[in-house]
This record gives sequence, structure tokens and C-alpha cells, in this order.
Amino acid sequence: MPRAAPEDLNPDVFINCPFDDGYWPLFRAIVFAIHAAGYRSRCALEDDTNGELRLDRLKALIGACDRGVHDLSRVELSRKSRTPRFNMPFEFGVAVGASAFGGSRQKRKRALVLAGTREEWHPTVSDLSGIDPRYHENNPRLVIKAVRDFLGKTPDGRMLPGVTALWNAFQEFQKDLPRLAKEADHTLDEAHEYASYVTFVAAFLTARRG
Amino acid sequence: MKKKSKGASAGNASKAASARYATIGGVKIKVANPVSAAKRAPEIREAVRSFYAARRA
Repeated sequence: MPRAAPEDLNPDVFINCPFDDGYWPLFRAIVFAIHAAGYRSRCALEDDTNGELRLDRLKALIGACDRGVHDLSRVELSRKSRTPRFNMPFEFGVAVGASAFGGSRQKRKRALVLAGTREEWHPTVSDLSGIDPRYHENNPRLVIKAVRDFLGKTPDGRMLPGVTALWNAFQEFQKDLPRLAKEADHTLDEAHEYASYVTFVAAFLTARRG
Repeated sequence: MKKKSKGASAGNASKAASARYATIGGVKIKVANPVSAAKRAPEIREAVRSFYAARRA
């Protein structure tokens, strides 16, 4: 079957989401789905040592990625400070601004907006009423489906595996990761650190036979 | 007709040889190298490769 022509977009996918304990199961599913589809995840957790200001790093990351996954489901009050968490809508705004006012490359940006539930979405960001988010209901399988549907095809234009195959591979990875970590002299916590986690994901995808 | 440089051709061959693929649900996917790989990435890759090789044996 002839392959569809690949879009002229790069394979880097920016992830804009909360980095907290409650979100890790969804974050890990997003990273896995991106790599299992042949793309590369990028996020603020990478390369935290080069001394750039956080905002400069974010601008560079957002500018470098033609696609973005923006989860706006956790814009609630922080338990500690009792203030809303503005990071995710802010970073989404930077991406929208780049797309609106940037050069031709930036104008081709694609974004997937994730939200928890339909009920939570509408009152949260009324300026985004024209945008139709995907609702994940805090369910990693729904996140994988949303990412898969958003990416559509592999970077070289091939069909992607179905959501069940991706979910089964993710489940297998989750089950095997403690043993893989042990084989590589890592604790599970160390294996879950972003740079290690993406390395384990990529190694798992190429080493297993599915 | 432009002559292909030997260097470019060798580079492409080397790239193709080092490309790594996954098979998920019968679909072959070219797996991209992570941008932010762990410092001990070669050790992790080797440990994971050995783990699945041993499981298949």
C-alpha cells in the first residue's frame, strides 16, 4: 500500500503538563505513546543544568517542537500555597503566541489540548471555548489514545499501531520496568527520572518483539 | 548529472545500519533516539537488550 506523504513537521513533541506525583501515571503514558509512535518527547525536565533561565529554556523548547501536548486539567489551587497553577495555561499561551505571531515554521504548530472531564473544562479557560480538548478522565489508556489520534501517523507517514496494541505494550513495559531497572543497576525511582525513563522506553521498544 | 560523494553515501549507509526499530501490533516503527538520554544510556540499552534476549532464549 502506498504511504501517505509525511508532513513537513519535525518529530519533536513538547509536553506541557504538571510534574507532580498524582500526574506521573499520565505523564509516563504520554511519553511512552510519543516514543512508541516514532516521535521524541521534549519537556522542561530535560537538561536542567545548562544555566539558562527557565523561561528562556521553555521558549527554546516550545519553538523547537512542531507539535505539543498541553494538559490543562490541573489548573486548580495548589494545596500548599492555595494559589492556582498557571504554568500549563501560560506555556500553552506561549505556544499559541508562537503559532500566531511567529514565522512560517511556527505557524504550522499543532497542539493537542487535554482536559480531565467535560464538566471541569468549560469554566476553567473561557477564552479557549473554540478549542475542543480530549478528555482523559485521569485514565492513562485514554491519554495514549488521545496522543495516538493526535499524531495520526509515524513521522515518515506510516500507519500507527492501534490503541490496544500501544496500551498492551505500555502495560508490558510498566510490568517489566522494575526488573529492567535492576538489570541496569537503577532503583525504580532512578528509572523514573525523565532522562532515564525515556532511555528505558526507547531501549524497551527496540529490544522486545511485539 | 551530479556525482554522489562517497562520504555522503557512506554516512547514509551508517545511519541506516544504526536505525533501531520496534514492532507494535505488527506495525514496524522507527524509534527515535531520546533528546535527553540518561548519562548511562549505553549501559541501560545493553541491560534491556540482554534482558529480552535472555527471555527469548
